[in-house]
Amino acid sequence: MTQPEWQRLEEWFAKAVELEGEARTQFLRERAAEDATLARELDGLLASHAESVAAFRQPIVPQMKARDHAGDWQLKEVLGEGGLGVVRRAERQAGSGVEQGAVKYVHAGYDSGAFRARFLKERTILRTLEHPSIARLLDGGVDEDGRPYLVMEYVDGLAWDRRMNEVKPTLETRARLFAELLGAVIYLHGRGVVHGDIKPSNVMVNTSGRVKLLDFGAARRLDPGGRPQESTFTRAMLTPGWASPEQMAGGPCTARSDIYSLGLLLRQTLADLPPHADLSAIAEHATRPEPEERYGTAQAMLDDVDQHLRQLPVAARRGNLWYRVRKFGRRNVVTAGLAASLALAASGGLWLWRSQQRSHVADELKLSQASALPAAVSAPAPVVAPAVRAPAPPPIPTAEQIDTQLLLAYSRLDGGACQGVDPPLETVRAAIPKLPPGRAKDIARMRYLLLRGLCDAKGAAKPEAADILDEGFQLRDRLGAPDQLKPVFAMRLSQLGRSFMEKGEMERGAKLVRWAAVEAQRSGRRQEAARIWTNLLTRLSQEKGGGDLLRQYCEMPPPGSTKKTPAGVCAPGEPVGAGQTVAELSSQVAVLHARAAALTSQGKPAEAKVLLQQRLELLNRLAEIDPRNQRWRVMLRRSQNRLER
Amino acid sequence: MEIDVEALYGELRRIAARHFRRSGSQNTLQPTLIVHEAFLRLPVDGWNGRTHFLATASRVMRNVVVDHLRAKTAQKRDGALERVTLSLAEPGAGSGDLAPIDVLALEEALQQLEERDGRKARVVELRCYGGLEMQEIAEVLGIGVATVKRDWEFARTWLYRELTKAPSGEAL
Repeated sequence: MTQPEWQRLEEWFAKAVELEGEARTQFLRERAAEDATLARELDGLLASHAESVAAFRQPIVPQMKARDHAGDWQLKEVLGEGGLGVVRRAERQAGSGVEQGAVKYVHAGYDSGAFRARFLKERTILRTLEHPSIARLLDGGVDEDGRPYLVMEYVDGLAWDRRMNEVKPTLETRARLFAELLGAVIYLHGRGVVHGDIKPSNVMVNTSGRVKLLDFGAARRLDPGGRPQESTFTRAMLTPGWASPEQMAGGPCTARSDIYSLGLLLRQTLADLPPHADLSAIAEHATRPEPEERYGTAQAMLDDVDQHLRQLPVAARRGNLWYRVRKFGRRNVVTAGLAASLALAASGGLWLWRSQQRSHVADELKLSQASALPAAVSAPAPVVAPAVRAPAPPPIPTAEQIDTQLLLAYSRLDGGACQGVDPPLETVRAAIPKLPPGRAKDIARMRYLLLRGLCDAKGAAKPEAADILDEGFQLRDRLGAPDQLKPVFAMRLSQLGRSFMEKGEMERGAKLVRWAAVEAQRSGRRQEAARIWTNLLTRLSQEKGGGDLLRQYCEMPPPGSTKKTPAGVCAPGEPVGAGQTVAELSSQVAVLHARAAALTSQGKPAEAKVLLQQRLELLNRLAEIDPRNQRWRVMLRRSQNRLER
Repeated sequence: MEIDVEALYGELRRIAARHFRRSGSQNTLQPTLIVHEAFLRLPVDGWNGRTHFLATASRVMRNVVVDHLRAKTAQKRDGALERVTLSLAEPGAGSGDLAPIDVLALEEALQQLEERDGRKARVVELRCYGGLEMQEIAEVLGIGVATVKRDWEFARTWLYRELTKAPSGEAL
């Protein structure tokens, strides 16, 4: 069709669609006389006309105009965006003035089902909160497309970390701001709400220097017993690096999880200042891996910060000393028997032997506990005078009794609290060899070994504990027993393994880390398993004498991972210069970075700087021997800039 | 005001990719959602008005949608036969009795239209991918509303006829 024909067709069409019935037929006849081919085209078009209206009734992208407002709020620039949603500044007319707000939307695709319910819950929780340091809920609703939104108080200011970096407040100001934040958290916990996602970007300091806690997207209500009403967090809602270990392990989030995040925040707040013993002690106390070892309440933490502000000694420093003593005590079970007994009595946890017959062994144990206690400490157990007791050998508990006990202990063992478990483990240890051989005996032994190892390993790298655990896990594998540890133990296992490796006990440490990976896999946390495994191999590859061990581990099937062993770790890299490969160098760079970060957070910037200098040299080398990889140059530049600052 | 078309393009593509990944189904495409998200994230203020933004977004959306569908079709072994379709009508908008429109076929037809009559093709683009009203299209193109309406009637009918024509005699 030529251009003039096309134009003529268009003119004809415009006229014909206005005509109906006989008039249109007449029009078509006349056009056919003019140009038969073009008239057939016109006829075809007219036949499609009615249907085309219906087919194109809706544009492919129809409701685009809906999104410059939400309710009566005009949407403005984007303030922030997270994995689940986006926050935009918004304005609405209020009387003669303009009210500001921050509108929060959930990303499309997350606005249905559980996520939608979560979002609506955030609103319900926020509605009950009213505190000067918590951003207020202004409004909320569902827009024309059925998508829910929240409108929060707009905070004009800087997020916590930017405030610290850009305004550089004095230590005292920081402590005061932190105390203000604690005030908000105390209020929150008092209302039975845990925030669940305290991190620098969720704490704003406004232009008049007031703290505002934001983003209750992960917040939970606690039941009266202090337990969260929903047991676990959705992974997508957690912020790695800020969430507490129990949250990361899929455990319950309690007020103490918030305290952990607050501790991390405090530590970061202090990072660029000269070391400060009191506040560092507070941060340390708040960030202990075991929830029950942290501050019990935000109020207790605030009391310490207040003490600091009034220049009085803080409880955390004494507490940390006691914590270390206890840890030491746990490492040395035999010599610290008295401490263990005291702890046992104090916690009121008495060994419950569930069999009908009370074992004499158990009675004996109770006796020794009671006699170890000062009279002032009440010992509720009846004391049997030693002279009265029959000299007959105590009956041996059956394999089943022992196993029931151990399972009970397993289930009680929480967050590493072995009080009420470990002294009777001695009696179990003594009883097991006397049992008749069989699977029941093996299982009891396996459970004993794991429990014993976990209790002994608590917080300390005691070599025996590692060997006991290794034996227990091997036995578990051999027996095909279904036993599974709580996530918190799996995590501790890898920590423990790493601490051995730090001390140069590579083989022992690697074994434990491997079990941690196996454990993660058993409980279905495949990604975690893969991560632990990768880190293990990387760590082994960095070790000078780790060659044999690395080869050995590289041959093992990676637990839980569908991914191949990380390239450049197991596969021999290109030999470079003085026998160092790109893989080795880059691992060292990573390790130096991590160590420097640790030193910085401990308030040792000078020592961190030395490591960063070393890292710079390595990066220089990498850039030389691997010139095609832009990464080294970028890292080099960044690292130079950072060191100059 | 300088328009950052690159940023807009990148943003829409990113959102689209994320959305398609999550939707799981290979054949579902809800561009509305994509644009809604773009709207939530891109500053509408920086543009020379909302219409300006939409006019630019419509071209980008067309590319995003078509690129996506091409990629999906290419992935399938029998891609030539099993084409991805998209109902132009939104679910629940009284569209039950309509055959879904094959967006890739529409794209081919739209390109033909572009060669013959660029303005009409642009009207279709602004309408279908930008969701613009006749008045707004007139503003964007600097022509009268009556002309836009006439262009739209003709172009829409012509496209629909191209899409519903019997395959032109080639044996499968």
